[in-house]
Amino acid sequence: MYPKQFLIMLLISLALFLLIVRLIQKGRLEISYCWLWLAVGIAAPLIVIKYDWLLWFSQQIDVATPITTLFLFSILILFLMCLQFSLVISMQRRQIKRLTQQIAMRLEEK
Amino acid sequence: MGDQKVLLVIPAHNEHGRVGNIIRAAKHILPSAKILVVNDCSSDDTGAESAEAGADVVTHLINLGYGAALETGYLYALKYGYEFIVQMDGDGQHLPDEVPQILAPVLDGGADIAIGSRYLSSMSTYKTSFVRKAGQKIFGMILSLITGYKITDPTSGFQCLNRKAFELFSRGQFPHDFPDADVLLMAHYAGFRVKEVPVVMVERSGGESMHAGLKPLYYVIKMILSIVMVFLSQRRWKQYVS
Repeated sequence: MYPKQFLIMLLISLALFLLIVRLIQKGRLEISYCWLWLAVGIAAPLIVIKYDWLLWFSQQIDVATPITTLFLFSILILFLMCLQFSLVISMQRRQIKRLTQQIAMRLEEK
Repeated sequence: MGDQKVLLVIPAHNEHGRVGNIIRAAKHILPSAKILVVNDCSSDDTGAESAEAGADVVTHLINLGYGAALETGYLYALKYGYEFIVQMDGDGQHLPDEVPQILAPVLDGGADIAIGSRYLSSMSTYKTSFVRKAGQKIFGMILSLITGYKITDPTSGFQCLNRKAFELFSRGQFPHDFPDADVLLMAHYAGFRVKEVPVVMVERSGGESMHAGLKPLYYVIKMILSIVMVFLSQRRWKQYVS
């Protein structure tokens, strides 16, 4: 990796990590829903610093260029995030439904 | 008819001008039954019209869908100790005159769930879209194949349930939008006896159907998925019997 490339990537990945930590700290991102974001936040600077790990891993899974490995895992992580969101939305939909039903019955009692 | 333990549930969304007549007619047919309108966040006067006609009204503060409105009716029936529920639509498709027919097999213990079938009655004038009709046929065939008894109208919302049945359906697994063939399959796996009764159905007398626009297409796809899911989780429903 070229020095400029390294510096830019390191800054971006560190900014991402700090943003995630800050959001959790402020309570805007719930800990229970942030494990994938945290994994990304930790993995991104790690990949920049330890670029040879990415090269080694790409060789192990027979991928010719490390960028392909990055894309592959980025898509996989995005897919997992979507799945996690769907799970959370489904759960919240059930909760909202039951809450609305209970409120409706309570209001009728009055 | 000993209908003091019967709750007539009418899920309604923007049924102003129709629901009042249904309630008055139903009160005439079943004078001692309680009528509950589940007003699913209507933007018109459905709630006021229902209360004026003599029904109890529970109002969802947000629109939850037809299935969720029915489930509210089941929860209400459980809370106040009703033994039987008759559910009918608030749009005028289901005729209150037919309620005794649909109630009879469940009241006499011959069935846990009675479904009013428009296709068993030669007097029905009900017409539906091609997609929905095709869906009804296909789902009816699938259900008949799995259950071993003939189901001609799996999408009928005109039903009567005993306490055992609505207790199961109020456990949070009831579909919020289209409770149809998938629910009947759940009932089958849970060991409930389902019986179809011929009823006359007419076209809705106004307003917008929940099967308007592209919804029939969504309905068919969603129902196929839902049936497959119920089929795959049949063990859970069978546990209910034991």
